[in-house]
Amino acid sequence: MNTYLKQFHDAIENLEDKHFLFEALDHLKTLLKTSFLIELVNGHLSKLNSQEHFYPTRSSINYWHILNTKAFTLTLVRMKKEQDNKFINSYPYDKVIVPLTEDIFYSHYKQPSPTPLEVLDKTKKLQPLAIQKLHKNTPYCIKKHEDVFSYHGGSNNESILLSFSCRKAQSYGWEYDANTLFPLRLVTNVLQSARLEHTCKLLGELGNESSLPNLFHFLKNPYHNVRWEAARAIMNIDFDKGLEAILLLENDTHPDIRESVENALNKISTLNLS
Amino acid sequence: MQNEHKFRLDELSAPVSPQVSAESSSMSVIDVTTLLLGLIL
Repeated sequence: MNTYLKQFHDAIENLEDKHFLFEALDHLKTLLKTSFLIELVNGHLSKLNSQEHFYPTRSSINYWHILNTKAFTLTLVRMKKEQDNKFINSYPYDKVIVPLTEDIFYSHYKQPSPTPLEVLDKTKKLQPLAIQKLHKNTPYCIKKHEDVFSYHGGSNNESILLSFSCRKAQSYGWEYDANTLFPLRLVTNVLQSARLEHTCKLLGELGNESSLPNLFHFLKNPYHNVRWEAARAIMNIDFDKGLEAILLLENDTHPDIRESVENALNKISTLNLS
Repeated sequence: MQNEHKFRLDELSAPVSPQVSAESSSMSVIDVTTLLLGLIL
């Protein structure tokens, strides 16, 4: 970490929640006036040249986490020019975007209150505002539960943005249809719930009764998507056990599960179970 | 009784997708070089 990044990190790491975004924004503006990025790039290029096995951490082909702390994430993101985006995503945390390589265009939307976050309300349509230009090196704040940002690109095929994400609480973003602007699905940043949901699905497809004890345990998981996927898997393995599972979820705290249980019981009542 | 009825429960009306992030993948050296050169050029 170079001196500028260390100063930035130390200044905001322990800020209080209440004014975190705005105080961090001031420090981010100060950071942008420095040569932190050139020093960072030069430092990495030197290591790449001198160390055969140098391996920058926490990165992918399009992302590079410069700093990843309990308070925030500072990331370089390589963005391709928009090509018929089908979806628009909101995030459950405050975010600041800074275009680093050129001016960019973006659409800004107002998000009708997405609460409770874990219950998607498909009637809450995004409210579009005009397409706007964001100048190079200018920070743009995206406030959680209020603002939604959709990137269109600049004059080049690719741009590099600096993305600053505040305190990534484990929660849900809402994904919208880019044409209708109505919400389509929840997006979780809880990797564990996504892994467990996938595992339940896999166990259901494999169809082995030895999976049932674990799957029944998952019916009590704190994440509703895991609970429902466990019930689906149990039903795939054994109908009677599946019926038992959905009855256990009949009074679930999540309305989507209660609705799914009701629909399932209605369908089952029409089956010929002789 | 296993699979006798072949009854499948529907997906939730509002499915949940994982957020795609850098945390699940790794960057090769060539990718870093491309990104860094993109910043410099």
